[in-house]
Formats: sequence, C-alpha cells, structure tokens
Amino acid sequence: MSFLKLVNLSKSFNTDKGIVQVIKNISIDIKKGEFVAIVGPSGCGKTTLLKIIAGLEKPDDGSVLLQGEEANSNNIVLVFQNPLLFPWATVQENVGFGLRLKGIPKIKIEKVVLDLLKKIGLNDFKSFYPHQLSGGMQQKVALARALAVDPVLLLMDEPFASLDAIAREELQEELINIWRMFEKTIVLVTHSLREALLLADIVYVLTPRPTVIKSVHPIEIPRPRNAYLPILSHLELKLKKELAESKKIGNLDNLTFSDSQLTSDKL
Amino acid sequence: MFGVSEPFKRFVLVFLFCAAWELFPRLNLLDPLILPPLSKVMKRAFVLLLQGDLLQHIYQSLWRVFAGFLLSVAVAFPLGIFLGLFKKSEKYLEPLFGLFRPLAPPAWIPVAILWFGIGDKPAIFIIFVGTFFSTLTGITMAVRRLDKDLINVAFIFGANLRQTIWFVVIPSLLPSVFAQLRLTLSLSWMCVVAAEMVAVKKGIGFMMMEARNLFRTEDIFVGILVVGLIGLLMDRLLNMVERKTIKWRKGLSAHEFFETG
Repeated sequence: MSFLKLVNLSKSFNTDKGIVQVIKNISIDIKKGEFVAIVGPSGCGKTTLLKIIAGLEKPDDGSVLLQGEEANSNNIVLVFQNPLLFPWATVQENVGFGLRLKGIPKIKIEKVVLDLLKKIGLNDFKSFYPHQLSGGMQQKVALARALAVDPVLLLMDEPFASLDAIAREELQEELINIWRMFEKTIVLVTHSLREALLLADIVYVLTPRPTVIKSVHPIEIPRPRNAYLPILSHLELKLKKELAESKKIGNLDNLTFSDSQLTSDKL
Repeated sequence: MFGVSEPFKRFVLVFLFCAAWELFPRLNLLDPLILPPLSKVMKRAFVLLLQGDLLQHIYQSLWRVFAGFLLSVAVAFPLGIFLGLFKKSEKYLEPLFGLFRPLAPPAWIPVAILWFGIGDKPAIFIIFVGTFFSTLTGITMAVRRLDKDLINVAFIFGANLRQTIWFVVIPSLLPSVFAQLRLTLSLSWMCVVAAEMVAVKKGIGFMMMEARNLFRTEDIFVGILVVGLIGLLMDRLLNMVERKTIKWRKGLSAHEFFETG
C-alpha cells in the first residue's frame, strides 16, 4: 500500500492575464521511507505542489491521501528554500518551536532538542542566534527544527538552492545521513537534475505549465553516491536529452544541469 | 578614535551652544528680557526646585503623559495589529482614520475643554488623540511588513492564530514596536505641554504660560530646559529597555556600516 498518494491534483490561479493552470492531473504514489525527488524547470508548479501536500494551498481538484486518509497538515513539515529561522530565538529555541506549539513541557522539549542537536552535530551551536551562523548551518538548523516534531513526511522546497557549492554538497550528504538515521519519507523539489539523481530513490520529471509528469525514473545506484560517478553523469545526460526532445519543453534554459548554473535562474 | 577625549568631543557642540546662550545676552547682543543668560535660567531653576513648585509641575505633567501614552498605546497596538493582519478591515476604517490623522493636537483643545472641562482629563484626551493615529498607522505598517514566510513556517508547524501572534508576530514586531513607543512617548510629551497651556492649573505647560503672562522670561526658559531634559531622559530610558529586550540585533545597522572603518 502506498504511504502518500496524490490523486489527480490540479490547481490554477487567477492572474491579470486570466486563469493560469499551474498543475494538471498529477498523481504520484510514494512508499514509506522513500526519498522522492521532483525535478522541473523554474516556474513550473513544483512549489505549488509541495504547498498543496503541506496543506498551505487547496487543490482545485484531486486529493492528498496519507496512509489512505485525507492528509492532516499537522504531521507534514515543509522546509523552505530559505532557512526562515526566527531571528530572535537561539538555535535551541528555534529547533524546539514546533514542540512548544504542541504544549509539551519545557523540560521534555529541552531533552528532545538537545538530543537531536547532538545527533546531527549542532550541539556546540545551541545558544547561537541565526545571524551568527553561515547559510548552510542555518539551513541545517531549519532541518533540525523540522525533524524535532517527528513528522511523518518531510517536504523540501529547493532547500539547497541558495547555498554556495561547498555548503550544498555538505548538506546533501548530511541529508542522506539524516534520512537514514531518522527513517523519514522525504519529498524533495529541485531544479537540479544532478541533485535529484544524487539523492533520490525515484525521480519525477515535470514539464512547464501546465505541469504534468513527464517521466519517472527509479534510481538504483547504490549509496553513497557522489557527483563524479560516471553512471550519474550518464543518467543526467540521458534525462537531459529526453527532455530536450520533448516538444513540450520550449526553452531548455529553464532547466539547469550542473550545480554551477543553479543560482543563475533562481528567482 | 576612542581615546580620552571622546566624552569631551560628544559635548563640544552642547558646550558651544551653552556658551553662546550665556554670552549673547551678557554682551547685550540680545535683550536679556528676550533671552536671559543661561546662568540666570539655571539659578531660577534651582530656586523653583527648592520651592517645590517645579517638582509639582513636573509631577503633574509626567502623570498626564503616562496616562495618555498608556491609553493611546493600549488602544492603538491591538487595533494596529488587527488592521495589519486583516487587510479588509483597513479598507473600511482607513478613510475614517485618514480624516482625523492630519489634525494637530492643539486642534483638539476646544473639543477637549468642551467635553472634559478643565483638569487632567482634557490634557490626557489631547495626548490620546494627538498620538493615537500615528501610533496606529505605525503599528499597522509594521505588521504589514512582517515576513509572510515566517508566518507560513508557523502554519506549517500547526500553529493556531493565537500561537502565531504570540510566537511569531509579536517577536517580529518588537523592533518596530520599540521604535514606535519612543516616537509615541516623545509625541505625548509634546502634546502635554500644548495641552497644559490652557485649562489646567498645574504642569510645565501651565508654568510656562503663566510665566509669559507675568513676563518672567527666565521661568519660560526653565520650562523649555525641563521639557527637553525630561524628554531626552525618557527616550534614553526606553532605548535602554529596548537594548535589554532585543539582544538578537541582526548584524550591523546602517549607521554602523557607514561609520566603521
């Protein structure tokens, strides 16, 4: 049985230029513990899709089923492109935010948070404020804040897009470790084919608006993977060609294929 | 830069100003009846202090300022947060507020006397109406400028409206709130002096107006000095509270950026 089931999701927005359909009939089945990557050009409905799963947006049509039931956003957490930490709170307070909302006693929150910080190597920074940390470190704290509430599903919206190449590689590695350690189901949205291939069990490739699923690729490369594996480059090239051949992709510049280009078309 | 002379440097301009104030009337460049020398004003201030009158006036004015200030803040802050969060509400209320906002505090004096007679009440009313609308606008704008994504983070973690306001909106607002508090307080202090020029029997404003009627120029300037000093002191005090509360100041502020190095 599938863990997360997206059934025929469609969404359009009213803009000045009339109604724009962003997402059209997207159906995806995700298994428990799976690492799923969704790749698509900038401006396609990737973020909207995540927001619908997270419950921040309502779909016009279709439904999100979590273990067979209508998803309740309380146990789904979304990590954004920017860390969005609370600048007035320390690392420890930031990570404890979700638990505090649930009215859990402070002593228990402290225990859970310190435990988590130790596990992912942030213990030394527990009393730092966000502005004292590097961008990569901030994003790691944001990840810890999401993990602290023990979500059933972790959604990530281009979490590494605003980082420099070195920090990005480090965090990609960390993310895999965290995914294994905490046994989470992760849905990661990215516009980097390489990132998707490097991290995920299965890659969904989306087309530009209206966004539909172009192709699905299970990635059976054993971990740990690194960006220099020939098979990875081979796959990247294959996907790139496949996308280029598709008439649906009007402008290939929208898709980036190497990390160095990642930031250039970021909004 | 930070040698022994630093405290001295800071007061060079103040010292020059005081010297000019002392010398111009003394050298008969200005009529002492129009501007008495600083030393005479100071002497008069001490006499008034010893007589106890000055303290009474200060006490009265301060009391009115705090009452008016607190009343204004207590109403404007929640309403401002509400207006900022719910854009639709502002659509209906803004034209009404826009009508009253441009009215200068003294414009309310006749109404205040008509409604509240004489004494503390009209003065407090004038402080309230004189500060309310700008405070409201300030808070509404601050809420409007909130980082929407931070609020999204709160929703993602399942925060309800109350929790979102308490854990995210209010802390985000603190810097602007303190800026607004300082502005409102100094506005209140300006209003009280204007309000006390009529319809009261005590207070700094009253003291200055009475001094003018009796042609006691020195007393007028005592009033000006006292108003300035107390205003400065209150602002510094709030600034201290601000720095104690907001320890997480983000990096450099603009002036530090331009003035370092």
